[in-house]
Amino acid sequence: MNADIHTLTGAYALDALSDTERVAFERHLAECASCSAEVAELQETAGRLGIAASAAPPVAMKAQVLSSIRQVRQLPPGVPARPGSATRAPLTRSRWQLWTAAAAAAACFAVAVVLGAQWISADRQLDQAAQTQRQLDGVLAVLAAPDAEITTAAVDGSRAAAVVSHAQGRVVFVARDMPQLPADRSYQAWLAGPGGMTSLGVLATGATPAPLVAVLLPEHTGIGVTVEPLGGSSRPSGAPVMEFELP
Amino acid sequence: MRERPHGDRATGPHPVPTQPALDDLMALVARGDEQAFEQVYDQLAGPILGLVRRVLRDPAQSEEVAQEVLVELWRTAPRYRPDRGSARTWALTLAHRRAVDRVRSAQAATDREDRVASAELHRPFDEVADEVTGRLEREQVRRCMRTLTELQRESVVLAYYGGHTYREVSQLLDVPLGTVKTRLRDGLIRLRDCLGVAG
Repeated sequence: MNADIHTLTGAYALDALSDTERVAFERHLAECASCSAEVAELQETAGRLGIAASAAPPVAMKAQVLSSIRQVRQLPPGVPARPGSATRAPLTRSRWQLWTAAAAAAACFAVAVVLGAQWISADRQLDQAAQTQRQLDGVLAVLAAPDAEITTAAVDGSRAAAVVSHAQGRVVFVARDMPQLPADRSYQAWLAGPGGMTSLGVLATGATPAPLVAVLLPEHTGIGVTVEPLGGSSRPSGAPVMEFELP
Repeated sequence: MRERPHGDRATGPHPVPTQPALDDLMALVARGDEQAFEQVYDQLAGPILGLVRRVLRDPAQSEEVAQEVLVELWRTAPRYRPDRGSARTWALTLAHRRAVDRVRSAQAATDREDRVASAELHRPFDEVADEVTGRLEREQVRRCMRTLTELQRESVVLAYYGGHTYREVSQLLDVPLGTVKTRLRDGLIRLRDCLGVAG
């Protein structure tokens, strides 16, 4: 029975196995060096059959492909793409652009400063101003922390950043130009951990809501943003519209 | 083992234009080099689209799948390892798999009619007769196909260009499963030796 499996090298190289057969055969390949070697040669041979079918691509296809690759992140070399792997990249499948750390830091400071100036206005009541001042202090403390790390993401016109300081045990989350929501909805940010999702805060309405500050525990691995009823919920009611993996 | 640029080897009076080695380009693409990717596109888009179209037949779907494959090459270029085979083989293996997955999910196996299969058997290369790219390879493949038995050739064509599983091939040709498995393997081995795919 087992001797039979070696005769599948040709069928495998031609992609002529069913999905279940392919998986089983790949398990076999992992432990059969002669089959692996033969498969490599036969796949190269099949590649020659493939080249023989060449056609001229439509001229317009090139620009489309070149544009598409700009929306797609390349895999990191040699590192399996598992959640929790040692990268600070967002783990979402939607389209993201990753900023350089320097640009992100500058943008984050700029955003925080702008927001700071905007939300501390002379019209506020004293106690609210005091609370807002404490929040601003909290934000700046995290930004200024020696171990502060930034993760950013951008999708379509929105931009978001999470600044993490494990020494402070706090995270700052800031987002701007998120798509406008209906009047009865809010964006809510959550910290994801093994125990589930903890609310990080509810974003105020408008293009530049005040940054959210929250306690960060070592077990928190990511941030997700969901759409909730106005004012927020006690637990996420749907899939996140935005996700980060935290450093 | 050195990289083996089979596509560059001239076996007849046809001169082969020098192109930057695909394997080298892929190493640059792995580092995010878009200009290198453009050159990869120039070399591979035609082969990928042609192969996908050969299997899928529908032009619109073929273009869609070909574009997906090219983007996937970009995305996974950091994982490409030259010691596992040439970049071209890697790309065409991916293209063929995607095309086969698509054609199998699009139609239940029983829907795929015999007349499509017989058309494939008798005219494998007619759709690309005027295409310069691949002309040399087509001639080599045509020549080497002649070294196969009719049953070997039919099995290989139905499986590879037709996207059929070996079980379907056994039904289409009305031969036992074991016979098809052996014919596919022996046929590819003969092609391998004739085309000079080194061990």
